[in-house]
Parts: sequence; C-alpha cells; structure tokens
Amino acid sequence: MSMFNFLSYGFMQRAVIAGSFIAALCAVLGVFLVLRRLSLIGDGLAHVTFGSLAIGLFFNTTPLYVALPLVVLSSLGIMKLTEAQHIFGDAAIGIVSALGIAIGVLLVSVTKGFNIDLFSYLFGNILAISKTEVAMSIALSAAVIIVVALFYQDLVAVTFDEECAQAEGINTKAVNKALVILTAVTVMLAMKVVGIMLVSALLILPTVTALQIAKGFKMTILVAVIAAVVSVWIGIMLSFFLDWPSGATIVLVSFVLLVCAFSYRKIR
Amino acid sequence: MSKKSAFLFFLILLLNSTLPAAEKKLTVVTTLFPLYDFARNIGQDKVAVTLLLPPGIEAHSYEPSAGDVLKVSGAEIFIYTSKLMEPWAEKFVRGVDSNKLLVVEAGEYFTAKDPHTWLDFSKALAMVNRIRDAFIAKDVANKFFYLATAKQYNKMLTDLDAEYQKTLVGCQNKVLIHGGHFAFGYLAQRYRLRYIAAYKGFSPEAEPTPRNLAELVDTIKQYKVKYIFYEELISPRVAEVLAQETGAQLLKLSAAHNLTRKELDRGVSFIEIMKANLENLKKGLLCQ
Amino acid sequence: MSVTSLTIDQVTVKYQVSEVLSSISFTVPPGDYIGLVGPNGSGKTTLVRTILGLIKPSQGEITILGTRQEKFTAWQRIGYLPQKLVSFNPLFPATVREVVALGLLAGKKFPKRMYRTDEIAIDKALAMLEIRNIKNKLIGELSGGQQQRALVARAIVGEPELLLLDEPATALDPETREKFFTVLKELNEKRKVTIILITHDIGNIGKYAVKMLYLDKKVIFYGGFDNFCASPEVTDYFGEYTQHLICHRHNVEKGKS
Repeated sequence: MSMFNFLSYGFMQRAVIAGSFIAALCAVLGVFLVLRRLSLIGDGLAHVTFGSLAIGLFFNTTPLYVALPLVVLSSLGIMKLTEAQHIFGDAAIGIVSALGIAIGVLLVSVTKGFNIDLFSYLFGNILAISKTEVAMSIALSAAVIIVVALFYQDLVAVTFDEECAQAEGINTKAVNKALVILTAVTVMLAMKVVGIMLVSALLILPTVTALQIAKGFKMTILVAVIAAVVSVWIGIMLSFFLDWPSGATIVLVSFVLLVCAFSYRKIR
Repeated sequence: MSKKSAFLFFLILLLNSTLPAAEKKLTVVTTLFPLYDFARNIGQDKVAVTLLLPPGIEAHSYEPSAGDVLKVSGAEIFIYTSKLMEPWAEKFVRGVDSNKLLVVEAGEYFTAKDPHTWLDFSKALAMVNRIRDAFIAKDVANKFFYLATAKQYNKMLTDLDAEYQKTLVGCQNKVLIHGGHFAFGYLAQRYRLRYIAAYKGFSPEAEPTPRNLAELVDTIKQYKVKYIFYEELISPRVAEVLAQETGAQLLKLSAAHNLTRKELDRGVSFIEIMKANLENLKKGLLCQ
Repeated sequence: MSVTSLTIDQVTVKYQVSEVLSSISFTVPPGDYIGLVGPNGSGKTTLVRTILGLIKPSQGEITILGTRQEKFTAWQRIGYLPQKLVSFNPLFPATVREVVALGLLAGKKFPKRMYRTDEIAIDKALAMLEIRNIKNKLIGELSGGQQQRALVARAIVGEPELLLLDEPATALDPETREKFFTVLKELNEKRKVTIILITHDIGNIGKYAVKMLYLDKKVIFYGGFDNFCASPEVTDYFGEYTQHLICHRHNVEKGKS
C-alpha cells in the first residue's frame, strides 16, 4: 500500500464523490435551516427515523417505505409546531425527536427485538458506500439543488422576512413545507450513506463558517458549499494519512475551517 | 448417554423425589446468547434461564431497560461475560437491589483486550464450569445433576474443537478476512489463522479507518482471497464494500453475541451456530 | 376616477373574542396621502396587516385597486414596510442590494429570475433613498437608519401604486427623517403613489400627509387635517385642550414654511 495513491482504492473514490455531493447538498440546505433557527433538524429527524424504522420493522414491511413518509410527516409537524403554536424551532425539533426516539425504544421493547440491529441499519459510513449509493447521492443532490435553485428567490424572501414575503404574495407556507420536506428526504437518505454525525455536522458547520466571512446571500451559499466540500476532501485525505476514522476527521476539519473564518472576522 | 450419566440421572431422580412436590426452579438471567445457551444446557429443567438482550440488539452497547432491572431483581443468578464485553452489565447489576443475587463473571480476558472468550472453545469450557459452579452454590441439592450436564456439554465443546482443528488444518488459505469488529481473535489464534478485521476495535461502535480498509483490500488481492466474512445482526456494509472492491464473495461468520428473533424462535443452539461457521470457514478458506 | 386605491367596508377583526377593529369603513382615492394615527393598541398595524391579507377579518370586505381582496394577486402593485426592524434576522447575510431585489419578487412568475431591467429598478430605488454607496454592505452591519432606508427601497422598488408604511421614521435621525419624508412626498406628488403611513408623530403629520385617519378600534376621524381641528367628534374624543395643542403646533409649523 502506498501512501500517495489512496485514490486508487474504489471505496476512497466513492467516499470522495458521494461525500462531495452530499456535502454540497447539506451546505445548501444548511444555510436556510441555520438562518431559520432549525439547525438541529438533522439530529431531530435522525431520531424520528429511528422510530419510523422501528414502526416499519414492527409491521414487517420494507422499513424505508414506512420510514420515508413518516419522517416527511414529522418534519411537517416540526414546521406546523413552529408556525401555529408559537413554539420555538428548537423546542419543536426537541418535541418531535423525543417522540421519535420514544416510539423506537417502545417498539423495540414491546416486540422483544428485531432481526437486525436498528442502529447499524440506520447509520452509514462514508468509507462503506456502494456504487448504487453513489448514484443515489448524485441524483439526490442534483434534484434538491435544482429545486432550491428554482425556488431560490422565494426561499430567500421567506427566510429573510416571512411577513414581508407573505405580503408580497409568496405562499410562505408552501415554501416552508418544501424546505422541510427536502430536508427530511435529504437527512434520511444521506444518513444511510454517510451517517448521521456527518449529515448533521455538514448541515451546520459550513453555514456558520460562511456566515463569518461571506458578503451577501449568494456568496454565503457558495462559501458554505466550498467549506463543506473542502472539509470532505481534506478530511478523507487526512484520515488516510493519520489512520483516523474518516467521518470524525471530516467533522474536525470542518470545525477548524470555522475557527479560521471566525478568527479572520475578528482580526479584520 | 453413557452408562455413568444414566446412573447419575437415576440418582438425581431419586433425590428429586425426596424434595417437596412443588419444586422451585433456579432463576438465572444471562446477558449474551452463548451464556444463555450454556446455562440452558447445564440447568435443563432445573433452571429457568432468561436472555436479557432482546433479539437483534447489538451486545456491546446495549442499554438495559427498567424491565431488565426487574427481571434481574427477581433472579438468583446473573451471568455476564466480562467488564470488557458488556460494560453496561457491571453498572447495571449495582443498580439491582437484591442480596440473594449471585453475580457471575463467566468470561475472562487473558491476551490483549479481546472479550470474545467463548470463541475459543477451550475458554468456553472454563465458562461452562463457572456457570456450573454457580448453579451448585445456589442449588446444592442438584449438584450431581449439574456436574453431569456440564460434563456432557463440555464433551460437545471438546468435540467441536477437535472438528475445527481437523478441518482448518487443511485449508489452502489461512487468511481470515472479516468485515466487522475484531471478534474472532481467539478463534484465529487457536486454529493458526491470520485474522484481519475491518474495525480494529473490539466493539462495533468504533469506525474503520481508510487505512484499515486499504490494508484489507491489499491483503485480499495479495492472497487472492475469494471470500470475505461478515458478522451477524449488524448490516454488513463494510464487508459488502470490500466485496464490491475486490470481487470476493460474502459468507456469514457469526460470533453469536446475540440471535435474531427468527433464530431464537427456531431454538438455534450455540453448537449449531459454530458448526455453520465451520461450514462457511471451510468453504471460504478452501479447506479439504 | 372610478377605481379607488382602497375601500374598506364594515371590516371587523377579532383576536380571540375581543374586537381589535370594529366595523371600519373608509375609502382611499388614488393619489391620496394618509397619515394613520391613534394611540398604542388602537389597531393601526392590525388594519394594515388586514389590508395585506396577513390577517383574516371576521366580517366586512376589502377592495384593493378595484379588486376584491380574496381575488387580489397583483401584490407587486403594493409596497409594504413592516413595523419592526426586528422582523428580520439581523444575522441574515444579505447585501442591501439583495434585500431590495426581494421587493421585485411579487411581480414575477415561476421560476423567478432577476433581469437587467430589474437591476435598473434596483439602482433607481437605491438612488432615491441615497443608499447606493452601501449597496454591497450586509444589511446586518448597517445602522438602524440605513437598514430602514434599505427596507423602504425594497418596498418601493416595484414602483407600487399603493404604499403601506408602518412607522417608517422611528429609527431615523432627524436629518434623515426629513430626507425620507421628502422622498415620500415626491413619490406621492410626481408618481401619484397612494400612501398610507402609520405614525406616532401627530404633531408633524400635516407637514406631509394630505389626510388623516384617526383610529381607535374604530374610525374616530377621517379627512383633511384642517377639518380635524374643527371637528366636534375630535373635540369630544380628545378634549379641547389636546386638540388645540395638536392644531396649534401644526399652524405654527405651517406658518413658518
């Protein structure tokens, strides 16, 4: 094994390709989520996925078919809670995610176990990505980024000032729904590919990094995407040379980028 | 059944008949499946054994429920492997409020920090003996019964060991590539196999590093390994990726930490699992 | 002039059980400039938000630029500046230019894109409020007055026919305030934009507004400022002394100019 041809391994190539696409995807959604104070929605929806998978296993169906609609519904629930009931976003996420975990634990206990460990089913690893998952990651990223691009102006308006956006005739509820549905689908599918740690980190860290230095909204998105993708590249490379787990290394690199951006802002 | 054990059996029956009619069974709770199966075989109808771990749940990181505490509170013996294997068990037992409870650490850890002692059948013998002794300590009346059943079970383990020795001696390939956590160290050591696991850690919680996987890929290619083994219960992502990368095929190698719901319902035994493992090893390592 | 800018007909708004607005009726002809005044909690903001469809009235009918509000979709013909600067997130990383551009969205169809003509409109709005020099600055890094001007630019960039402003001058220093009202006057006089302006500053209202609407859950007074000073209803409501104070100051300022 040579140190410098690490890209000759198929699993490393797949990690870089799928990782980059998922990073870009998470960064784009992350900008809107962080600004709407829904940063933790990734973690929340992961918990909901756990519960939803348990329900799927409980009814003995392909868990994903049950889990996907349930997770989408839960994300709409989070939105509904923040919209109608005057509940803060973080509290809404907390409520829904606690419920998801509780249902999962309950079902695991009541049914006295399953045929496969739920958690391992749930959490992917960036080093263990199949060819199908690479294709899926690219398709998912392309689809979500196209939808975001088409509704870009509406998303910006609603994120900036919901009241004004509504007065300007934008269907803010529909835009909100679209955002959380995209997030739900992304979290669920990306989590299976690269693991929840990476997904929730990439939803938050690159955006916060971009907010330190970017001079405008489009630039924020661009900087977030670059920060996310660069974290993945450097993280994978470093993890290879240092013999560290890749997912955790990527998160650390992402954090280092944030610290750099923060310091730059301070000294500027 | 040998003549001797038949005699013992008769003796035990005699002894039993002198006890009160409504005989109370010894209540035992075990953490992992191998312990459960050992206890079941030693105790037979004298003992009510409960497996704490729900089927399908990963053993290393299990979190006991309130019901589990209740189960153990009512039991007379609690058996776990070791602090290393079930870190949660030790803490958990402290929370059980019962002074009649006998806690048994059945496993041991000699080399490194590998807690999977049952996968070395000679060490499994010692585990059986510890369980037997615990049963006798709590239920002296059935001492001879437990001695007999334990002996019988140990005979099965010794036979299994011999079968492994015989089979694995004649393998073309001596490299055991395992796409899971480091569980088969003892087994590989005993039968002189080279063992490489995807995760360096002894627990599936740890993540593989890219260099681990690169080394595995290189080794697979270097030794022209045709089969990669994957572990039970946990979805075999890493093994699948290695297979995709190298064109090798997948075979299951169960460390028997725990069973699936279906296996448990079917009444699968530890010996059966190990025999199935041997079949797969024979195929995967190209043994005669 | 058959089409009014705004017709409010018997509009009642309830918050839970209590009436915030009770049976409001008035008509705004095109080109009017109305100062909407009243004490705190009198329903001024509620009225504006009801006009915009952000609040559903429990009774009554609203007609905007000749169309029933429920069927009204041409929101680009209306400009709106909400009350509080805090309604937007101060960390929001948009430039002044990007914020002003949002004001053009209402007139666009899916997929909404910015064109060259839009850039020209944005530049014009920026120039009008004298904030061209800070167009590439982040909105969160500006002073309250600059932020307010950016938001006004957003409200007028689509060249609306009706402009609803909720206390736009509160964050402005006196000098900027003067300039700001000059801009509004220009919009009103040269471009015939109908303006409804919520303000606390009753004393100065006559300087810019043509008409005055005094609201306290219902319409207390609606009409020209001079009539306000002569209106017996107003005397009933305020008492002679207060009415005199308001009108006297107004007359003094008028005399000066």
